[in-house]
Amino acid sequence: MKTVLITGADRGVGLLCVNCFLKDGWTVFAGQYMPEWKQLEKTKALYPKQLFLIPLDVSDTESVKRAYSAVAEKIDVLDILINNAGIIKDDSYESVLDTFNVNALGPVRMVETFLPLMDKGMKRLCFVSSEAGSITAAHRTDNFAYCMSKTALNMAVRLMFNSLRPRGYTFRLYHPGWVKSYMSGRKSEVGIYEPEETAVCAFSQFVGDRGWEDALVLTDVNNVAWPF
Amino acid sequence: MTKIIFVYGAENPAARKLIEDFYRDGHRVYAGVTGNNKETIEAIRKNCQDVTAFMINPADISSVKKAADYIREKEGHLDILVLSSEKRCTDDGEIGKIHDYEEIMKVYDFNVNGVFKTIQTFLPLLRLGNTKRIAFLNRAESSINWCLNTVNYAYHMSLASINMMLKIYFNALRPEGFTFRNYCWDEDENGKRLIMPARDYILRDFYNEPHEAFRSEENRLVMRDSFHREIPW
Ligand SMILES: NC(=O)c1ccc[n+]([C@@H]2O[C@H](COP(=O)([O-])OP(=O)(O)OC[C@H]3O[C@@H](n4cnc5c(N)ncnc54)[C@H](OP(=O)(O)O)[C@@H]3O)[C@@H](O)[C@H]2O)c1
Repeated sequence: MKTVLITGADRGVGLLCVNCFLKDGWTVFAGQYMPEWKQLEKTKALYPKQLFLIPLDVSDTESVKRAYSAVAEKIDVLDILINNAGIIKDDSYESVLDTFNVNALGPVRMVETFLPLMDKGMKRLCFVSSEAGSITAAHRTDNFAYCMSKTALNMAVRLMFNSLRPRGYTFRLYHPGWVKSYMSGRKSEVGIYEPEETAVCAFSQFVGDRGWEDALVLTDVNNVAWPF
Repeated sequence: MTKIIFVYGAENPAARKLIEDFYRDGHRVYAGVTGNNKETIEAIRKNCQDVTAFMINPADISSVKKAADYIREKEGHLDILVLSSEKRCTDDGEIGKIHDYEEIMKVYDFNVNGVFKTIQTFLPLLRLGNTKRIAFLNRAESSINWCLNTVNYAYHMSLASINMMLKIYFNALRPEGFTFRNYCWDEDENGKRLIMPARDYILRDFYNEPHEAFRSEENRLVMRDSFHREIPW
């Protein structure tokens, strides 16, 4: 059975990705950041042998290390790592740092901590980024903290790609579209896509192979490429 | 015409050179030295006697404000704000080496919040001037498209984020008449005949150019190098 770890899996895009992988028969490690939110536990009851809940705060190095130990106790090989956890905050200097820590540095922590489990697997690294990180497409006049964090993430993925692509790793950089998710704290009423819709597309991009793995491309929920 | 120019990050070589060029051309130049770099302050005092240099701690906004207050007092406005921020971690290798995340955060704070605070603090002074220009001394490796490097995460992520910051400022401030210069410099430039040295690129008013192609450049944010090549984001 193939294995996947998904960060920020309590709700929104992450949770719906968990469902897609479970339905397809994968062993899923779901990063749980908010244990008070019971959705993952309900899913666990449906897939008790396939789904493992792993406490995980991607902004906390010790938490990431503990998550690694918990996963490594159960499996020798992790096929796919999906960096989905993300936050949005105001534009104070503290928020610039907090958002960077979760959205950009979180994936760096995750990748380098979990690499030892990935070398013998499918070697696929997936990152949920955003159009908000595209400098070319940037249209906003504020939202500095969030946009800068996603641009920083795209750059970090480029550096990882330069190192790891020659070692056989493949990369997915995904923009889920404008999703009715929980980023503002509660389920958004505005947005274009339900988390289910974008998760289905994410799943097909994350597991499917491409004939152009040597190119790093930001792709969206409509399979359209975005400029950096 | 004499311009009032503040150069932040004066310890970086391209910024140092610009200060000397602007000073020699007769502009009224102020320098912000970050990273507690006393040698830079001394060098500026020696080579450019009339340039006032401030020691700025990017973590402490009051040091940025002090510089802005001084320039407001002396000049009443600012024409051009030039920014440079190139701090790197001491050890920031390839993915898998396990990074010092605290240090990455500190470097990001220094570079990104340092530039962010400086732009925010100097905006009111720039608004009082007629030139209203923000320039960033950048590097081509800030391009996510072009970057071939595998190390220096903090540095690369900082520069890419600053590009985004400039784009958002461009969107917000261009309608007010602000213009932007995002200039990539390179040590390899020494001794070469440059098509567009930093000084020329930053001072030139493209909106006055006879050619529409140049004028239109003011209406989008571009990153160019000394050969006037456009570098993709
Ligand atoms: N929604 C959109 O329109 C949109 C558009 C483009 C990109 N994205 C990206 O899509 C990804 C998924 O977001 P979503 O829309 O599904 O939002 P979401 O519903 O808020 O899901 C993100 C999840 O990550 C969790 N999380 C926050 N901080 C964390 C940390 N330090 N460690 C681990 N998990 C953490 C969140 O918990 P809390 O709820 O407690 O914070 C939440 O469960 C994010 O990376 C986001 O930036 C979203």
